Amino acid sequence: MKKIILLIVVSIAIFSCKRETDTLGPNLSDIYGEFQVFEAFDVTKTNIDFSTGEVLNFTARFSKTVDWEVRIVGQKSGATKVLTGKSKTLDEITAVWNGSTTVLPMFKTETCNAYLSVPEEGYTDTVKSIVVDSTKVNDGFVVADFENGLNPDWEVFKQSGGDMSFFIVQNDSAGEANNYYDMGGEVNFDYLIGYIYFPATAYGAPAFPLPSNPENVYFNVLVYKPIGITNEIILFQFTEDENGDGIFQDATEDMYSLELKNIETGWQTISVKYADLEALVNGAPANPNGNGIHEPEKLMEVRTLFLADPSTGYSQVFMDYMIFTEDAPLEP
Amino acid sequence: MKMMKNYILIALLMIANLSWAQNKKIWVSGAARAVMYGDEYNTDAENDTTTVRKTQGGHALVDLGVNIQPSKNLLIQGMVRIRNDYGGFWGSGVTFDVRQLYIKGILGGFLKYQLGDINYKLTNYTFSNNVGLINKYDGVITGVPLEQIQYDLFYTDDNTWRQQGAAVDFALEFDEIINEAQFNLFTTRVMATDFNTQDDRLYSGGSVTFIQSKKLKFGGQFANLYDYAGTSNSTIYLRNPVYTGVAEVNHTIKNTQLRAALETGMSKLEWEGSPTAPVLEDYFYDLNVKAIWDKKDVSVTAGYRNVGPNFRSAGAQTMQINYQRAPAAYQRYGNEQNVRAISMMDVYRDASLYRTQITPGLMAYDPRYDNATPYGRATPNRKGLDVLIDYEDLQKRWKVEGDAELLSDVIGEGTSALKNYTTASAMAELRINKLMKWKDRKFWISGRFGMQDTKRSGDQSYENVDLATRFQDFNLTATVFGDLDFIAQYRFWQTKGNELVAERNEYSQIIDFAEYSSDYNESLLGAGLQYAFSKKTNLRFMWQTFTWDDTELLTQSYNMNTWNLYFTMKF
Repeated sequence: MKKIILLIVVSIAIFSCKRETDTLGPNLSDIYGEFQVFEAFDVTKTNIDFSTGEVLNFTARFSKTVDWEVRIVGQKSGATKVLTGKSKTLDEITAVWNGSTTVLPMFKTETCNAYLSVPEEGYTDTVKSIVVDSTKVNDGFVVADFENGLNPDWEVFKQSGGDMSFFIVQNDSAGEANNYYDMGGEVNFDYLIGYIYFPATAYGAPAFPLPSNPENVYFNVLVYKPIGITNEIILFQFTEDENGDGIFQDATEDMYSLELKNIETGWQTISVKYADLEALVNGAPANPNGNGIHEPEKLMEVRTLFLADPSTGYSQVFMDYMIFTEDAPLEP
Repeated sequence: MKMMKNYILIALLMIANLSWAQNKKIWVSGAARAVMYGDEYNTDAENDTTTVRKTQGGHALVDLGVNIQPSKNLLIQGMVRIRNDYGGFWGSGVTFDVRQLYIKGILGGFLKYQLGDINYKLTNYTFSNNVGLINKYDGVITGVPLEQIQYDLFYTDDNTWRQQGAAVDFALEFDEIINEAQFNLFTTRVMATDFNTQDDRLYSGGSVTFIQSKKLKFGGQFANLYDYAGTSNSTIYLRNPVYTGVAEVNHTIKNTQLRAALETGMSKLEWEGSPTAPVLEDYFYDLNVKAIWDKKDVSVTAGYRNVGPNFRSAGAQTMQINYQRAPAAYQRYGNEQNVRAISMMDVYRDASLYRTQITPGLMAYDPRYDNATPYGRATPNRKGLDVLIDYEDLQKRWKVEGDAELLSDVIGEGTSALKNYTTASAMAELRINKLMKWKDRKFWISGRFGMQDTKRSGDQSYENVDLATRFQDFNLTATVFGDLDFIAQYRFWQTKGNELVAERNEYSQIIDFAEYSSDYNESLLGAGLQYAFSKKTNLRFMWQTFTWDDTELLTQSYNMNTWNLYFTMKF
């Protein structure tokens, strides 16, 4: 009996242990309580220079945790950035705009409007206009943005078909800045409509200045398909000069490819890790002809070929802002 | 490959023959079964033209274990499973697997060891394979396929987990103060490295028990789930040590045996090397007292426990059922081809829903099948009383049993208001053959009513929670003649109400609450015949009709008629 009493005494000693008494998880009042706006939607600046790394902070404070959305729309470009979150506050952590774009084209130096919405509460608000004095600068090697015309060392070819475009167009709707490259035409005797090659020598070096690890290199390009086009084939080819002789030998050196078909209409960002590029023969994966090693530091030419089934008639796409980035894909 | 299988089979048969020649130093043991079934799906849902109405299948398998005993202190067993799915022919559909392999023996006359496959458990708070509420109570129809699942997955009656590793047990005897000290140690691997981001994950521990006398024993347990650093490129290492102490006092007053037991301990769950992961530490205590009156065959157990909200013990909190899986049969149904929710019919017959290995953290659970203690007795954030009463007639003519748990949150979830959890069931079994003094006939009937309520009332309406589960189970076993029995069962399960179910992040911390609402019931009515060739060999033919009725129309209601043929044998 003494032992049972001892056991009970020990138990009581243990029972007296304390632990924290905070509630577990988010407070229910933050989720299900009445919605009130404690601090109205606001922005820290009305003029912003993204090129210097400045960021824009939006602020607001609610009585409860809600799913919110901030939509920033460029008045000239129509570019849209969407910030979303689930929180009680919009602050320098949850609602920051670094000048990037969610829906292309990319923002220009323009005036933007910003709107806040909380759909579940039917709440919307806006702030006074924001002026982008300078757009975001993306780190990486820009192959082509078409802002300064055609580089004479680029190689352009177009078939003698009908309605052939293959030229630079200046328009506010450009994927980036003010110009894009229009590739279009109707060729009823060949798949190839035309091409534009970007050799590394056009930039004053035998190879593009890229790091050697293909896992860290991303190829990015903005492409646009007009409404009604269904037959486009865009083929990007990446030729490596493995022996360093300045000439690409098709039979003995690697060429990797990226083929795009049935892309969405409108502007979109294509980003591919260099290591994920494949050798293709007639669109099907094949063994590369060289050493089979992805060597971005030996990339000597990027080729863009625009093709379509000759029986399907006219085809067209736009291309803009071809850039290699390191460590991460382009955040336009 | 087919030739190789044949060679192995021939070798096994030769070894089996040798067993008789070598005075049973080599012998074969194992099990065999043949299963055939057919499902017939019906629904009142309009225009369900997509779901196939009938399916059928089955398999035959044999587990052949070769036991080799080269000396009296050494036993080696290797068991292979040969399985042929219904319809397989000449090797098509045949699988050939190693089911288990172990070596065990006694070293130096005192050290017991086992290498390879081991079944292991410690206590309810350190390492135990807990059975969920939905599987807690046996049924004569539902128990047949469930028994095969348990056999396949090495779920044992004493709640062990099947592990692969090594275990040693030894004991020391003393002349003074204590009589004996028992030591048990084990180490197992629960996950292999991927040589990239996941280290080998090991589970190790042990226990020491000091037996002072028949009246007092005490000791401690330790279990630790941990990543073995250096076996991959990962720089973050999971650590989940659990330490507990136990004490048990036995005392007899006249015809009453009293036993008081205490287990208390603490746990820590951390991801060493991670700057963002939390460190979760907490403790628990569990005190219970049991009284047994031998002359009346009555026992009463009452206990109180308090398990902290951050108590984490992978070996004790891993649930058998993985509720994030979808059932194998009729996985998608209806014209929308929605994933069919797990039903109790699936729980009893679908082995793919079950886990075979312990898992860190807290897994998602289904509030229908146990909202109060989904992680067993070690469910965190629970405190309260439990009572169990057993009363059996001394002539074994009848038996009654009742159990209840009155628990509440230790700390409120999202509010200071606490949820109260009440679980209770009452069972009565009547052995009519004993009452009527029929010596060679079985005639048993039993019934159980159970309930589980979860309630919370707060100042605000959104704090209120009211979820009620009700279940019933009736069983009948009656001898037709000889060894042929008629068996029948009716089981009903219903859950109605609302709950805010905690959603947890990868570190098992609550990050949100999901609104859960249910008004459904499911029932199973089955009957069959079972013929016992011997205690270990049975043939059963069963028919059952299962109904799923969702009043809220969140899922499509349906009915499933099923027939089963089970031949099971152990040797």
